Amino acid sequence: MKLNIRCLGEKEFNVAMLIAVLLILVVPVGLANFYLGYYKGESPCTLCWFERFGMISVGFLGLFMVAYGPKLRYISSVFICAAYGIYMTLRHFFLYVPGDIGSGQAGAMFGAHTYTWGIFVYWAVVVVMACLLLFVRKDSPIMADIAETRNVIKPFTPFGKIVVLLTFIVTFSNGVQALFTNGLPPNAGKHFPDRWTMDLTHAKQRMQANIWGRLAKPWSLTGNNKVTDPLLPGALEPKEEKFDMNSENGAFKELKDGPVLKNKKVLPFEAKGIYGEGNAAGIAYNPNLKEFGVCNNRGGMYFTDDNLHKVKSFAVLDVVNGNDITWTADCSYVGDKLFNTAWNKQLYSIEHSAPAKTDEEKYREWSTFRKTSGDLKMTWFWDYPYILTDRARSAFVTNMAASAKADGYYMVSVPNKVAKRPVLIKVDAKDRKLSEEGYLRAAPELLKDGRNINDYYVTGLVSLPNGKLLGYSIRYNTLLLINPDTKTVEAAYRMPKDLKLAHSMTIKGDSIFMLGRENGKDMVYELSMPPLSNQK
Amino acid sequence: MEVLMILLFLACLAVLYFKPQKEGLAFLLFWCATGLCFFMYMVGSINAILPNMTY
Repeated sequence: MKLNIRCLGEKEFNVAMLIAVLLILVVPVGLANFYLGYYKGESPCTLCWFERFGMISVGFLGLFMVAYGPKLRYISSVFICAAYGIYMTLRHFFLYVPGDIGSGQAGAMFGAHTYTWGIFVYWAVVVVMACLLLFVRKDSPIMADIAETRNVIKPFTPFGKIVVLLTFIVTFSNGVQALFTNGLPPNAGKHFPDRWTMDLTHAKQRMQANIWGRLAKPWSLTGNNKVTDPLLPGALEPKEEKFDMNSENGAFKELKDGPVLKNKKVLPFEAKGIYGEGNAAGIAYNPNLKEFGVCNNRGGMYFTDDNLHKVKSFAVLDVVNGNDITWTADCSYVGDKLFNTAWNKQLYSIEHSAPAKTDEEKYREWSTFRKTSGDLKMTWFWDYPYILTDRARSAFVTNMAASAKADGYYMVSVPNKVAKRPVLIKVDAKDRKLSEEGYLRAAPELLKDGRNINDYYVTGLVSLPNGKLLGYSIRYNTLLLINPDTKTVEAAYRMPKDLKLAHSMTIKGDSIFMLGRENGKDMVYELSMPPLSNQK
Repeated sequence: MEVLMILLFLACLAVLYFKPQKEGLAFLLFWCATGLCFFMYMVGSINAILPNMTY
């Protein structure tokens, strides 16, 4: 039996099209205007208006097709309007994506915020238009309309006249709402609309033409929320940042004498990552295993002997698949696991293990590592946890410090033009989620007049046995003693001038080890511990 | 500006219904209204064309 889906003649096509026009104009546009607008008093925001008008456009194109046939120009116009409508809705909807569940503007309709329904409506427009064309009979005169070889004007049927009347009512009614909400040109919608009223004493107050001010802003694909790369020595350099290395130019009135450089040497091995790329990003010492862990900013992880001389084990993570860990920023031991943070706070961890034996273990090893010495495994397979923050959402991190006392680890975000203040972030090692965060501050009595520590740029962080933190700010070359409980800097120490692009910190015995970058090579700096008078 | 768009849409509907022989004019009015809608949306989003948090 031959199935013929081409069942629509001219009459059926027109009826189907009129129903489609009714559905788009009465349901989303009409409901938004009459129910939300007049009954509930909820007004559309700037972008809501244009989403709504895009739907009116699609409805009008349906009437054009009923009156003149589905000419190619109308069909292509439907797809253009639907494509633009999907773009408008997605851009609008994504403004609220970073919020928690339920957040957004105004109320919900059928379980979703009104502006998100555009995604479905415009998608349905594409599907319905495509299906209607698919089902047109080959011998129908509509085929001549599509090819634009026939030019006829088709009078509206009674049903068509009703649809035209409803179209007029809905469109006119939207005009009334627009007039009293936004006023006459050049006024236009606003980001935070207020409730519907025809009382012009109020309505006049709220009409505004602020939208035109946006033309004065620079054109941009990604907008002002795009922030520059953080400083990852050897890999990324923030173009807009200038790093003053003079400790005396910092915000603190008094700088204490800090660590003394005891030794410096070139890292005795090349810490390479995927495709042989990158350089050393982080260093951590584990007194239990008597080993150093060194992470590379492109997924390489190296474990050395107690003297940082010889590599015992290594692995190179397949950073191009799975969650985005393009740039690893630092590492720190949580127990015997080497935790690594990417610059976007993505966490992953590696640990020692027996060589893979079973097929599943071998598959996991092959799947996660591009190279390996064969005695390491990832703590979590592909499900690397995201660390989501609020205050530091638009800020990268360049450091991490595990803390046994806190049963987790800390990071300090680096400031940029959007997230202007450093944020101290605490992550619980058990559930691997944010457990605390707050802006890093310093007591006013420690600071010069009119200064703050918002421009301090922490590239190295380490935890002390008493739970406090030492953070190295590459700007002003200063070591900060941080109380994580109060999120305050309690003291500042002058650092040796010999440090070059110093980053990452770890403690071994009575020495601080840091990485640096000189003449294109990874350096290891060994420094004395500062006299921590505040340590209790 | 929304009022202007609506007026253009209503003019388009009037031509389409009362003067259907002026198909070109109706379609021109339609694209004036729709184009204005698209243009105003771009004005509203000019400093961030891509959706937020998609980069």
